[in-house]
Amino acid sequence: MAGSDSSMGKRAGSGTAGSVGTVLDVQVVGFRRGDGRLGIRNHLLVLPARGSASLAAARVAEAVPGSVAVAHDGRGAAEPEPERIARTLVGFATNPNVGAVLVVGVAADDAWLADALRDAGQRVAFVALAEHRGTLGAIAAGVPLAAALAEDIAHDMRTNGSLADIVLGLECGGSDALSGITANPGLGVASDLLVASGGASILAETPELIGAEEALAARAVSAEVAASVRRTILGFESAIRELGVDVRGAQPSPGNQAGGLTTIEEKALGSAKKGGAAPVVGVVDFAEPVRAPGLFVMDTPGHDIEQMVGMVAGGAQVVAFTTGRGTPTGSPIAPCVKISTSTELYERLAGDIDLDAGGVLTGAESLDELGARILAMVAEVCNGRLTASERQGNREFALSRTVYA
Amino acid sequence: MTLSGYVRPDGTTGARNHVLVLPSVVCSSHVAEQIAGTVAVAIGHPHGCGQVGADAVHAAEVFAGIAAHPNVAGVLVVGLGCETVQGSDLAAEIRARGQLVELLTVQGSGGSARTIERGREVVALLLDRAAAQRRTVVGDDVLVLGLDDPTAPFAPALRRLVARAGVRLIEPLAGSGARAHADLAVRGAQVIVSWCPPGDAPRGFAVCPVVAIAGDADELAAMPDDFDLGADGSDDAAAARILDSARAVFSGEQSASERRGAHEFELRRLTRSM
Repeated sequence: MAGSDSSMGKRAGSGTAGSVGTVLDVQVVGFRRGDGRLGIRNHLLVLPARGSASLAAARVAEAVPGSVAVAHDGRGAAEPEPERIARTLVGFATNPNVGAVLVVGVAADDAWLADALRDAGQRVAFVALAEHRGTLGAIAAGVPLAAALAEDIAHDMRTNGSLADIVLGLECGGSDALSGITANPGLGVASDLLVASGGASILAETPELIGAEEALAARAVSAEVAASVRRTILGFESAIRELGVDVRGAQPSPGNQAGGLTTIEEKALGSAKKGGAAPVVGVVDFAEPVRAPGLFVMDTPGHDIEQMVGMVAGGAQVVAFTTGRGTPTGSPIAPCVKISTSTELYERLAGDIDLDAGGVLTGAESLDELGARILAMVAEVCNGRLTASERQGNREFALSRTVYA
Repeated sequence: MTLSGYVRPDGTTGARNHVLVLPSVVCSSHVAEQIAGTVAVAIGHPHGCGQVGADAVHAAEVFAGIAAHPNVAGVLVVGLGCETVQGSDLAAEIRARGQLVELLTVQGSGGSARTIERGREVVALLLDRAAAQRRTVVGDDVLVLGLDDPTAPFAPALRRLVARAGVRLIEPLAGSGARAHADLAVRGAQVIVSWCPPGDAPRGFAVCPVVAIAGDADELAAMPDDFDLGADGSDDAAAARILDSARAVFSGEQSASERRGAHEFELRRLTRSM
């Protein structure tokens, strides 16, 4: 990372970093896109326009080095929430980490997705099953199209950027009693440091914020944003209650309880600590773009993958993911830094975890030091270091719907 | 033509003899796919956690039903450890239904790499067990066809024909198309007859061959490789062609979905994720 490794290391060890307002001068090098955003990866994405094109998309990506496919169960025009699905697919495929996209459709009417991406400035090619006798023919036709895009993006060069270019997705999954004590507040310090440096963070997983709505609303930059925070969190709770589920009774999950969490408020306040102490500058809907600095709340499910897809579709180039129980998941296009809440977990699932927050528990590290170390790791990852989930090829993806018809 | 299939200990008959690697949750799906590689069928899916109420119960029921399906010779369940649809509960349910099943969890096995390594050893044993199974001649009364769209133009004629032939035909209780495939399989369909409405492409299914019928002549002309038959009429002759094709596929002939390797899986969700 252009010589900044050692300087970050000193900051991390000094104990002076970490309070709100500290500005870090860390270089980030990435791929500057036409809209000004910075990609920290340069993926060729093979994107099916709907579920019935997912198999062809997967096979094309297997045949073209450097490409990555997602699979999903989208239904095209039959979707009950077409706007939400389109926002997700377009946002995901125009994330600055994506250098080019091959859209795989069934017929010509699926070209709308390729057109939308092209209109947004993305490099795009399109292939349809119906133009090539079906799946196998579309694979044969799609491979050279993808290979040409791969060749094209291989010439892209990294250029200088900074932490102000970074949108960080904050996530926790498989929480335990230590989540709210070690990894989450440590990540909160990292988020505050990033925000103070001009970057943005996204706090999401709305159902896991139920019980923390007042604490977050009190940090809103305006009465309007405060109202939006309350409306979003309480709205999710009432939507779930309308399904006949008492969310305050259904949470924490069995895994959370086995990990020592007793109440939803305990889990929520621990979960919200990922957002640090920075002011909440805005609330966005699922997969809506985050294009300004500061801490944002995004309305997403707690489902680990739906949440990650929403944040990445909103523009997050990198995700920091705390875990108490351990989970290997990652995004197809955004590196995911996995942070264990305890050293025991870090050692037990060594190949799946990037960073251990357990030192806070033993006193080996302060929360400020941990936060600085997390941000240093995020910066390294932005500059090319592979995460555990990238090394293992974890590329989970899911569409998020609020209604099923 | 006589039918042949794999007669299972519980008296059901399989059209296929798959070894299935079944993740109980999205978080172990990649590990399950890595374990299966090209030697077994894995169902990667985005479900199994963040689901509540009837939706979670339905997911667990579908997973168990597909694993205990007669087209499956043996199962490795891959759990994460902290998921809603617990891998251990799922494996116990599959075992209770008389299926050969093994269980690994990522959290209990020391992470992804170790789970993949151990999982491949388990799959090798399951493959050996499956390879010892043999097809035998069976009667038409064991055949269960699942029709994924009751509005298909050939449906009335097909219903009349199967009634005469002594073949069971089951139809979706909810949903249609690919979203109905899993529910049809859980209810015992060994072969799925899929009617693909004009404008979409046909889907395969995880453990069942799919006989795909094009919605119209244009659809068939555009994607002939992905279909088994055209929707050439709604009369008795059309129904007879479909039943003949399904019987041949049951006995081992590859369907178009199998030729392109489409072992796809969609779960019909009841409610939004938490």
